[in-house]
Amino acid sequence: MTDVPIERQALALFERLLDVAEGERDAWLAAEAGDRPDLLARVNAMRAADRSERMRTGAAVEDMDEGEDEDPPERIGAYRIVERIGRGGMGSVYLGERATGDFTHVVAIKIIKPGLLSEALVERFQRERQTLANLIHPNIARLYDGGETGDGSPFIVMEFVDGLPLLQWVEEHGIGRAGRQRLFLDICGAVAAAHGSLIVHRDLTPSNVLVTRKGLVKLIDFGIAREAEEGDGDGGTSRRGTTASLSLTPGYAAPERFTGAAVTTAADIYSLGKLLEKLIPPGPADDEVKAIVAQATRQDPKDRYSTVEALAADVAAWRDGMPVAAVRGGRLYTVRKFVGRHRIATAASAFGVLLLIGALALALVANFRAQSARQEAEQRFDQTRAIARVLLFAAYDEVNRIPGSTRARAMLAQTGLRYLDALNASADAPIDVQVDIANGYVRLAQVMGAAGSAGLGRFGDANILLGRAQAIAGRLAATAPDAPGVREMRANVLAEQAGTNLYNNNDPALARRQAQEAQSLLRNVATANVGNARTYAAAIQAEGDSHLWDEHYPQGRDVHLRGEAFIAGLPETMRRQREIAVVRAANLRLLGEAYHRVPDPVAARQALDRAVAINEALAAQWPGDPGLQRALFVALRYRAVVHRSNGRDALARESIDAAVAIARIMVERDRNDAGALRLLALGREVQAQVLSDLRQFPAAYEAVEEGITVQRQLVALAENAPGALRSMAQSMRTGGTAYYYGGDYANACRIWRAARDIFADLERRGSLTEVDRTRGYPEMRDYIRRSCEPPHAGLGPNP
Amino acid sequence: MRSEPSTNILLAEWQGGKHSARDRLIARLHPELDQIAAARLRREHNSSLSTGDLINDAMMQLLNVEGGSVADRAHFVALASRVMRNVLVDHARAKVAAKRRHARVELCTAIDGEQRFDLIQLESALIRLGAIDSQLTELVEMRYFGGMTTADVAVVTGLSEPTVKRRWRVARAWLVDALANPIDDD
Repeated sequence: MTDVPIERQALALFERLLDVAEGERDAWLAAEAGDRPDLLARVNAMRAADRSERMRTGAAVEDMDEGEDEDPPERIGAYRIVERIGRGGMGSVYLGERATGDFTHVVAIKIIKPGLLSEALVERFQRERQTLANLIHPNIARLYDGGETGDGSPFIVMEFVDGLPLLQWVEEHGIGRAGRQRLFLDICGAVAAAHGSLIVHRDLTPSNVLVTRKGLVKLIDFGIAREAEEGDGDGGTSRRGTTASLSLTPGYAAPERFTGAAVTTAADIYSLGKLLEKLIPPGPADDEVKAIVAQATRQDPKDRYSTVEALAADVAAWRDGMPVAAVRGGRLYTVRKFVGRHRIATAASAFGVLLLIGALALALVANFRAQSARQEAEQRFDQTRAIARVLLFAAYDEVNRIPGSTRARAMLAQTGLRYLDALNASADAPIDVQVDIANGYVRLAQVMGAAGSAGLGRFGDANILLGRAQAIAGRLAATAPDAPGVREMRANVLAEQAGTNLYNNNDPALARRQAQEAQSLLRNVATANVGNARTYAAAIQAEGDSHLWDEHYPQGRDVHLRGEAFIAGLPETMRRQREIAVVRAANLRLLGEAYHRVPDPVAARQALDRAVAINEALAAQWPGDPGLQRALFVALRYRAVVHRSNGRDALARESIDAAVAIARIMVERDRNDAGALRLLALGREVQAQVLSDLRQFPAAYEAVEEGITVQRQLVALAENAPGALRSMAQSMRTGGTAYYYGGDYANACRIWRAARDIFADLERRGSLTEVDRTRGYPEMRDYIRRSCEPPHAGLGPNP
Repeated sequence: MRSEPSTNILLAEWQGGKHSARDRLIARLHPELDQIAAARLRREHNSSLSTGDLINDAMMQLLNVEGGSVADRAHFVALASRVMRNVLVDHARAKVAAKRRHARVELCTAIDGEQRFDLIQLESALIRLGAIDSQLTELVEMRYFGGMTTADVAVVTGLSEPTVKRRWRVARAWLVDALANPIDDD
């Protein structure tokens, strides 16, 4: 029978274990229950069970039902279902349409059977949805939207491709070898483009490659295959070694997908090799294609082609009757080919700096490819590492100062990523190289995920990159905790994760634990150098802010005070360093926020004045640095908010005007920089409130209208992403209130109605957040009901 | 005027601590859910609906939805989840009896990734889990049988949402393990 006391202990232990970092769980368990084999066995049994994703929310009815055939739903999101166009193991595909304006938008909607995707995978898909939606390539079926139906089945809305699966198409059309080579190169081009955007397909098979009537290749189902990597999601995607894994198509899936090793771009290269073999079955004399397939499908990922481009180059060489690299090993031909392809891409970006870096990078790509011989591994690491450093740090910062460089920065980041992944795929990397790779991933995550002009705003990517850094950190923590740089690297990873979990993933509790762990790792070496001091201070800042997110203001205040005391105690030479000053200003800004909420208006004002002063000094010392401009904006805007709520309208006006002026300059520098546009919208929103407090209504209305116009632009840039819509609705809510105060009820109602319509649309799409559901949306309906039918002063003087 | 109090009133009374109100709510819910579940299993009902939708259906019929608060709704669904557990397990037992053979629980036989639970085995595991930690059983009722969101479960239990998620994961792991390694009671 069940031993209740042991079961209770095991449950409690397992629950606590879930909060321990993945890589440290074994060690933690050994420490907690190493002397209790019975208990340990129970916890480990639960860990094994946790890796299965069998028990899905709300699945009870389906679990007792042998249901095979389900009726299609009438609608999915904004789309009307027209008919079922296909069904397979994963679920059914429907044709959907949506009337938008004058034409009907036709899409394919794939509804995945409930229970097939783990919750962790669904979560990951939702995180990556924006990245996938931005993946625009003529040979990749466009992803428009995704979500969950009412019964919890994930669905994907994608470009409708009227075509046939690859192998069927070539058979039916009697396509010869040259045509097949062309198709294969198109496929490679699409996969390479995806890799450039950090997306690995994971399940490339002939049935995921469609060919349209016109002979155009379209890859489908990017990024939705189950990942074999360790995950930290609710459902616990952990190492799975069974063939039960979804869309792990035998014959095409790379061997590392079965072992649970990290899946990188190399897995797609493997699948491409298998696909090539099926598409163009080699005859007895086809040594070249055999060599290409063999090289692409090596057991060990690092023995395969290092990039899809390299594989494509070989196929092109074979087609053109040129020597094939795979036959003789690395040779000049492939390098030339590679350089040639990249030179075009680099020139197109039209930046001198980029060209230079491009040339430098290419030399090293060649180097990396050519010198794969074992004895030269050391040298290869060093050189590749050096270039990754240059790309991610010096070159990125350089390009970042050039106006309008968003695209260039993205390209640099992607190139940097390719090196890191290539290095990371090498199992024999020395410890110092691994430390460098992890720090490189952290840096790249900052670049990708940092909101605003300092980064590219791609949160999903940042999460993935930090996951890779964490995997390395966990491995080294277990195998070489005391090696030079390991401790610092782990703290660096944790501090960045804390920030990401706080600002992007909305998980303050986890962020707090990570921030505290980062501090404890550095405790004895926090003042050893500027880098450590920065990490330590940043971790304190994140810890403090995690309290603010939980609305625990006194605790937050105390932690931020500790942060300020730590920085104040550093030697003068350190304090003057830019990275320390940046953290200090941010920490003071948050300290001001904590004081404001406690509330302690006098202390809040002092802290915020100091934060603004430090930010001003930084911005003056490094003019034109977007990160510093942004920090100054944030401090000024927040100070305006605090002044406003303490009735200091004139000071609020001064502060917010300065903030808006900064945002405006940033927008001028790059009109497509979503980060800068967002600042302008946020600044104008507060400015409208301040102006309306001062009863300067014409100016307030102007601020409202510009704020909304910018929000519209952001929505268009984000292609109607729910986050952007939500933010616009929020601006409209505030803007309508400014009109209302001014007595212009007609305009107030016009804007509130628009906000309500956005909420309604989000609800239809299943993207309404809990806060919107309980606060924003009902509030808009309430305002409209009380004062808009017809527009009048229905809310009283203070809505 | 109706002689019976409305479901909304019963719900308010139950939340106010009146046990008889709860029993009357269950009495009202049971046939409703039973009918819905039976129809669903006979495929009369739109079979793409999940348990959560079915319960929602029942709620629409029994509750004046416009009037209720979020907390009312969550508590109602929590109660319905418990009733749903009984209803579904009863149906599963009836089905087995009709087939005159025990549907063996098939573990690890993934065809196209589809895996189903044997609800009877699950019920026996749930009873064991209840003896160890009754809160976990309630979470399973609400999540698995009721299809409730973690946010709604948080409203009902008073736990934070992260705690709900974490505890649900714990319950799930324990149950999956228990089903994989059943204890023979007989």
